[in-house]
Order: sequence, then structure tokens, then C-alpha cells
Amino acid sequence: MRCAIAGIGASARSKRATESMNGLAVTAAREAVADAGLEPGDVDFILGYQESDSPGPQELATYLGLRECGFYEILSGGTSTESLVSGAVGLIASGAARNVLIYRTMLGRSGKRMGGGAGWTDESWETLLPGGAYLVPHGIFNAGQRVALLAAMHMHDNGIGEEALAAICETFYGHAQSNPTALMYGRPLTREAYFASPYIASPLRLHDFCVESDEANAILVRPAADVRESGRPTVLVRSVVPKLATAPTFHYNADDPTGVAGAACAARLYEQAGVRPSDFDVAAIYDCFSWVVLRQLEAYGLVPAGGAEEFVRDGQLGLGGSLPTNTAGGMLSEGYTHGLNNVLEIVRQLRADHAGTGRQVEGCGLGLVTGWAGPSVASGMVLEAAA
Amino acid sequence: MSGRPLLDAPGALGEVGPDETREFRARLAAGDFCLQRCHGCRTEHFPPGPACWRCGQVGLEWLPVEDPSAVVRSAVTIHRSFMAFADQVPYAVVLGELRAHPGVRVIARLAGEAVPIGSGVELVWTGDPSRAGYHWEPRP
Repeated sequence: MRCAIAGIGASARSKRATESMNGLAVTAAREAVADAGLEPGDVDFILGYQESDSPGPQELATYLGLRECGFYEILSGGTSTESLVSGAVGLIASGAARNVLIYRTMLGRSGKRMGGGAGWTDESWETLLPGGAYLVPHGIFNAGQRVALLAAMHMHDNGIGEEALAAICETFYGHAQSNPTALMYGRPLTREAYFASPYIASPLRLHDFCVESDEANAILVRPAADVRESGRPTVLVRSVVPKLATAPTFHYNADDPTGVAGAACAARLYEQAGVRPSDFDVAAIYDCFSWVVLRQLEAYGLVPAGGAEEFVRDGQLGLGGSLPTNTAGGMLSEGYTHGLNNVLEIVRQLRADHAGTGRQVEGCGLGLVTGWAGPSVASGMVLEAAA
Repeated sequence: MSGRPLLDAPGALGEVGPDETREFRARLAAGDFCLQRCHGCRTEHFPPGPACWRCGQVGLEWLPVEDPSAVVRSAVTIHRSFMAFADQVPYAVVLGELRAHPGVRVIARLAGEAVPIGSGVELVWTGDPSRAGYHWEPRP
């Protein structure tokens, strides 16, 4: 069963929402449904993800006025979007659903923050993390601290300098300057400002961390034939790989501790879609941290081995580069919903929603989406603009 | 490094965590920092678990570490943190690979400032009542 992303929607984005999480979700969901040319009553299944920090799909169904609606949700951050798109394709293929809404709502800045603080305890971190009892008491728990250990090792072993991280941040902040809804709109980042910012967990500085936002995002997945019939732009899901784990889960003791699951994910993704990494016109690369982008470029075969630093320093991730990536600013500078906001933007690109502006990637036919939930869990999608 | 507990949460050594962690902590309190070894493929494991991640065999034997020397594979300095660690910044954390157990890597605080990747460190079990129980010390 070929499926397509038929609609996208987003609430307002801020650092302190004036609406409830359910309110934000309703706004995003109604917009995605309308964008697909449907009514809320056409939605027959809702999929959500959260990290024990938001209300679930049952409540959204209620506030969309649905008397009956299938749903499930997963407790997860990065890699959730692709996993739920895979779930939607399965639900549609099995006949259990026809129009599947996927959403995330969060008060990621004013409420429970992902990096720590209110709502987190040492015991909750230990429960959450594989091997947490051997990390948390040593002062290593949040994602930035864990990623820093990997980044330091990978950059040392491969002779990569901090200029590479600066280049990624500078490029994505540059993209945000064309996106009035980005948190960093009007706040471009210079190389000097990057290096003047403090380390949070060396080698990661302030701007190497993604922003935090209050917002909701939604997409609507339908059978591709239905979308075609509706006359709306069709963004085909050409292949999708849900959460893929590579052992061991305590990846510091993998044979190659700088290896990441993205390499195995890419092999599956490209084989299923029948594409090569050089075929992509645009990308949405999971960017919770700048280094995560750098590492995935190589893992997904988007640059030759050892070529990631030169690629990003040459501006190839920028508009006008060979692989424009996270063109709304990404999670580093637009907003942060564990990847879903990056999916919204790549759908806009593949539909040429930005046509006539400098933000549009010309001749945009094939897009790559990657997901990251730590080095040992990856996901991905190949999306295609269908005539 | 001072001997004061890194965390004040309940649970002294041997009282918190899954079974393998309780066993690990009890052995640490008795003076042994232990890895596990698979009966089948002989893979050495850290942290401990119920089965071998390489071959799936259930039941692993405990293996006390005799030689605590290690090579630094990664080192970071944490400048901003949370919980009990918020007022301990900046602090250094090392991922060290035990010289006598290739492939076995342990993450712990480093006593003192960060050291370069590739330098020598030694795992020292502190005997303090914290849930950390061990740290790295530089051995240039």
C-alpha cells in the first residue's frame, strides 16, 4: 500500500505558550486536516509520542469532536515520527485506518524540559537510560552530556575540529533568517559569536544544543491514491525504517564506539526505496545537537568517508549547497518537537510551497528524513514529490 | 577527590537498581570492581546484565578486575548540570578502556581536571557511600 503525507499543520511556537498542550494540539491537527482537504471527522486514527510530558491522543480525539477514533502512542522522542509513519502505513494497509493523524504537542521550554531540571530526578534518569546506574551517579545523564562523550571521541579519532560544528550551526541559523516562525529568526549566528559562547559540555557549546519550544506539530497520512484523487500535492512515503537498534544498547562498549545505527538504517532505507544517497535533493537530518548532524552525514552515506568536515565547512548543507538540509532552521534554531518540525519543512519543500522565494530548493523531487534516539537507535524516511 | 557522596538520593551501595546492579554494588563494597564474562563466547561485559549481548547466552560469570589501568578514549568537561551536580561544575568525565580488558570501557568522574584522550588513568574504587563508588585518577 503506497501512502503519502497529505497534510501538515503547526500551532504557534514560543518559549511560553498561552494555550494548553491540548489547545496547541487541536490547532496543529485542524490545520493538517484542512491542509489535506479533509474535515476533522475524516480522521479515524491518531498516533502520538511523548516523554511522559503531555496528554495523549484520546484527549485530542475528544477535542476534535470525534465520537470514535483509534489511537496509540509511544513513549519516545527522536525516531518517533518515522516509527509512527511506519505504523500509519501498516494500519492503512491492514484496513484498520484510512486517514491517520500523527502529532506531538509539548511545552518543551516552559514545562518539562528535555535536558533536566523540574520533573527529573536522578532515579528517573537511571530508569530511562540503558546502563543508567553506571552513568547518572557519575554526572552523565542528559543527552548533551552523553553526546559530548561521543563527539569528543569521534572528533579526536577523525581529526575533526570545532570549526565543523560552528559551520553547521551557522548554516542552520542562516536558514532561520528566512523563517519568521523560527525562534532564532532575526538572530543570525556569526562564527565569532559561536566561539564566544560558553561550553556546556565540551566540545559542545551553547549553540550546538537545539532550542527548546512550546508548540504542536501534526501530519496526516493517507493512501497515496486518495491524495491523488483529491487533487492535492502528493508527498509519497517511498520507504520508511522505524526505530532500528544496533547492539549493544550501552554503545560505549560496541566494537566501534563511534559507530551509529544510522548506517544500518540507511542500508535498509535505500534498498527499500531503490535510491542512492546521491539522489537526494533535500534533507531533514535530526539535529538535537550539531555533532549529531555531522555524524549522520557519514553514516547515511551522504558524504565520502572522512569528508563530513569539508562538506559542512563548504556550506553544502545550505540553500544553494549540494544537499540543502533543515531549511527552516532545524531544531538548532527553528523549534524542537523531536524531529516533526523538520518533517513539516521537507514536505513544504517537496510540494514547492516556498516557490518564488529564496527558501525554495529548486527541482526538489526526493528527500531524506533521518531520526536519532542516541547512537544505537536510528530511523529514516525517503519522501518523494509525486506528479 | 573528596569522599562525599555524589548524590544524596536514598539507596546506599547494594540497595538500588536491578539485580545485576545490586550484585555489582555489593561486590564493589566488598572491594572488587567486577566485570562479567560470557561462558560461551567469552565476551567481557560492563555494565553487568542478565545475558550476553554478543551471543545471547544467559548467565554470566563475575570477573574481578585485577589491573585498573586504562587508556582515555574520551574526556569531557561538564560546565552546566542539574540535580546534585549543578553546584559541582565544572567537572571532568572520562570514558576509559581497561588495558587488561580490551573493549571494556567505563565512564566515571575524573579526579581533577580533564586529561587528553590517549593518556593514562586508573580506576580507583573510593569506598565512599555514594552510588558512584569509583572514579578515575590520572596516571601520566
